[in-house]
Amino acid sequence: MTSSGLSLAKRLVLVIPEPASVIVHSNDIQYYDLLQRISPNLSTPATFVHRACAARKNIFAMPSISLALDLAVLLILIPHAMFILSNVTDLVRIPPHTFGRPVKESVTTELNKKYANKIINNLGLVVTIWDLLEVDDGLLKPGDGATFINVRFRCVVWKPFVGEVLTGWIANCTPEGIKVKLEFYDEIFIPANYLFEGCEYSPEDLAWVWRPDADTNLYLDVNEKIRFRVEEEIFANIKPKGPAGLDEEEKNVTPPYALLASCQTDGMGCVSWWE
Amino acid sequence: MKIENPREKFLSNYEVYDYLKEILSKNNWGFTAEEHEYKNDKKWRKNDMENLEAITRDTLAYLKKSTPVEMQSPETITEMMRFLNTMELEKIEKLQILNNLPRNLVSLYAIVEECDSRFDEEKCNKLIEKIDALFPEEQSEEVEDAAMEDA
Repeated sequence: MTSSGLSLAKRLVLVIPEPASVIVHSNDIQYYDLLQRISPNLSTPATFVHRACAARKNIFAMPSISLALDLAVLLILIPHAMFILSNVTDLVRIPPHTFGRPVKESVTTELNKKYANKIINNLGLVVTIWDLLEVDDGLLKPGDGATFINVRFRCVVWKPFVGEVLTGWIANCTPEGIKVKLEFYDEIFIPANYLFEGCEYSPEDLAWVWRPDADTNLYLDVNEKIRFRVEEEIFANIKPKGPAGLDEEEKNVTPPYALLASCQTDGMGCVSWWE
Repeated sequence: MKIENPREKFLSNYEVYDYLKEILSKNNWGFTAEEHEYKNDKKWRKNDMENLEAITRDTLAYLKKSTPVEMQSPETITEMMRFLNTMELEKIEKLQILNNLPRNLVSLYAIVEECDSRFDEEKCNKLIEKIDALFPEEQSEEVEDAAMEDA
């Protein structure tokens, strides 16, 4: 995995892919102060390990002061974007009644049936099939009239990266935090401790109130357009559903793919505040 | 199923939007029940493609409502990218700028890490001006003025 931080930063930072954290070795107090100053602005929760040991002897070259000052930023961008293309192979079953159609068309249809609007564990939410890269000749199985075809295809996957800024709508406010929904995805949660400092839940309004200063009350109300930063993604392994009607009563199942978000820096929160 | 490469490429919102629109028109799906105009083989489409239809419709609705895809076109995006390439931005930052089209400094700073130390204010304003010029929005001027005052 390549990290696409600043080239300057790259030399000084040890990148641990996931969960994103930064470990900085430095014996320079000034440098450490600098890091502390900028740390609230980092896109990912960063861990700074300040070592008063002789960093010069460390494998990490000690930056000169001027270099350290240039380095006003330490960031890890885990390179994902809201929508990505993923390359997947699978064996598709083409039922006999679609034999009349062109092969590629029926393969795409079958793949869309299987993948569209589904979450692949550790990958993300598949939106649709983008294109087919390879379509093998079909195989036959005894006792089945269908053909089985090996395909390599690319699909559009929705997977925002940790640190990405998204806009959505507030679906629900509870004392625990705010639930945000997008039209096609609603497992986004902003826990109370990831909200602005000085945010309070108001039980009368069923909303969160942010008081940047004594006389200003900014409401985070249901159906407001909200901007937030993705902090963490949680994948859960879900058992396949049983026959219909068997496990209907299970309402509060863990979502297979959920996002934790935050609202703490400038520009976050209701979109209307910042315009 | 085997995942060969979890992330081959990034897609901009516009690309996804364009592609989904194509799917929508190919299948004669509409946004509301009345707009639906199923092809001759009703049963097959109705029963099997529900998921694709739902996600296509919802994703399109999201893109239309919450992102500026509708005012973008391949030409303006190409020009915007040419401009962005003149600045020292990471690929992912360019993509985010394109997806969000920040129109004031606050939203630009939210997207670009440590924007204030990497670029001076003049450069940032130039970027915002460029966005406003390429993707005009009605009340964009007020927004920019407000941002300048804030800064």
